[in-house]
Amino acid sequence: MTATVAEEQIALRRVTLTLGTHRVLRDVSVTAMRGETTVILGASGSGKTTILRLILGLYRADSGAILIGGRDITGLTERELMPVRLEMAMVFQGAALFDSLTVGENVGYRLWEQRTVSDHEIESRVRRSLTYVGLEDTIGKMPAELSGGMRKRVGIARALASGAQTILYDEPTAGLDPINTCMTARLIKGLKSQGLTQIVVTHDLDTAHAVADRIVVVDRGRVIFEGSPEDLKASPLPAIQTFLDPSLLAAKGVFPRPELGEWGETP
Amino acid sequence: MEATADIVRDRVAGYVLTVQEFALLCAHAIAGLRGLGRHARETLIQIERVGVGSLFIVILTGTFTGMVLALQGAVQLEPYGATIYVSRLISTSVVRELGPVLAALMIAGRVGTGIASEIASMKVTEQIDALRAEGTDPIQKLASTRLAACVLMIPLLTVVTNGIAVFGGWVVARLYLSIDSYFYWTWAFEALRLNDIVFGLIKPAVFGFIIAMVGCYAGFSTRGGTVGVGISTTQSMVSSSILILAADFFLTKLFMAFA
Repeated sequence: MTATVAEEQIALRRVTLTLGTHRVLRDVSVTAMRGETTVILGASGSGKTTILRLILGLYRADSGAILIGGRDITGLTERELMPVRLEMAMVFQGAALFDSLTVGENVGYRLWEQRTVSDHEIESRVRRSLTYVGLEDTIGKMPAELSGGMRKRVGIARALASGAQTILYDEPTAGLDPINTCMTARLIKGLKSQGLTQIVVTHDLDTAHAVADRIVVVDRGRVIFEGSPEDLKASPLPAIQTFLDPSLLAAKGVFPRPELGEWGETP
Repeated sequence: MEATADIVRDRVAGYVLTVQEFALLCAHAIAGLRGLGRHARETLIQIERVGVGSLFIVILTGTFTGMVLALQGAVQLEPYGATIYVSRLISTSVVRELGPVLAALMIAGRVGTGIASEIASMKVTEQIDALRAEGTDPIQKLASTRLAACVLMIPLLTVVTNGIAVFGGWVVARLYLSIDSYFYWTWAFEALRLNDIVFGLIKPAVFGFIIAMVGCYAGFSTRGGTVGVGISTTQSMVSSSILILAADFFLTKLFMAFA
């Protein structure tokens, strides 16, 4: 029992969150083990990204506990959260690169701000991180000059350069072409072998199966599955089955029925 | 009837919440001025943007304000044979009121809306969240730096506006009113008292505070995509203009009590 607790890097315990009048998460419990890649799967609007934001302390839970390295962060002030955030890095859905900084400055942002290592070391880390994601020649470019896929890879390089041992990914392959999707999945998989703890939020099943050690499925603010990728495929839950094979919804008449006529015509 | 009461109550609660959030942001930004050295580069960039970037518009504002005042002032003073004193009218009205207010309104249009739209864009593209995720206090990095830049630079820009306005008045006085330069400049400076200059510098510092904080508040409170960015930018311009004019009235009353 003690050994299991020691391996837990991030844990949400019965977390509930309401934004405005909308109950986004209900009694959500998720665990990410140290050195593993945990994938949070779910449809759009199911509350996946909210879980990442709670882990980073960007949202505050109404109830429940959020443990980072065994420490509950739910009661921490913004100032107390700063060092906790520095233990992690996040790759945002739109990359969230700072427009006014070059790619190199974006990648080394945390290091330049914290000043815990020498300038030479910062430059070296920035180059290494950009080389890892295959974008070493973009170091002097501005984010606006990059494609969507390149921006996401720069986002990964920024997370890598920070030296954080936990990386959170928000839809890292959303909107990417198959080549960039495959490349991003390979990057995430490669980082797992370096012992990083990773949480990947996605609705892309192929990416999930390619990188996951554990999968958590969220549906309308509740966790409906937590287990291995193999267990997910074998799950008999109807909600999981329809998520894995959306064509099952067609049989229930949920999808539009084009055979009824042209759009706008009364059948 | 009950529905109307609910709407009124919600509106009032909304305004109270806005004032509370604005006050908290101001307090946080002021507190962030301590230790601003870690954002020295950002502060210098903002000083350059506010100061050098606004120089051209305040020069134009000052020039035309002084020229118009000279023309209008001469019309009013002519029946009394006092056209020669037009520079008194220009220097006092510009240094006490028109210089600070017009410069502030122009800078609110250029700098305040820039601050609002930049922060709003950062908000909707998750860059503010990214700053927090990187362990940076976004209010210190974005609001305190802009606050320092505006409070430092807007008084200097106002001095430029005042100087240029009096100069613009001199051009008109020489070309159209045939007033001797010696008399123009002598009366222009003699009309001013130390209080006018001191109060004329305190006002723009207060206006700088308003411009920076209203712009930052509009940016940070942005909701909903690019439409939200547009709304925040407009809101910043309208709110800061009204607050500048209102603050000018109350500051003038206050200064009159001290003078």
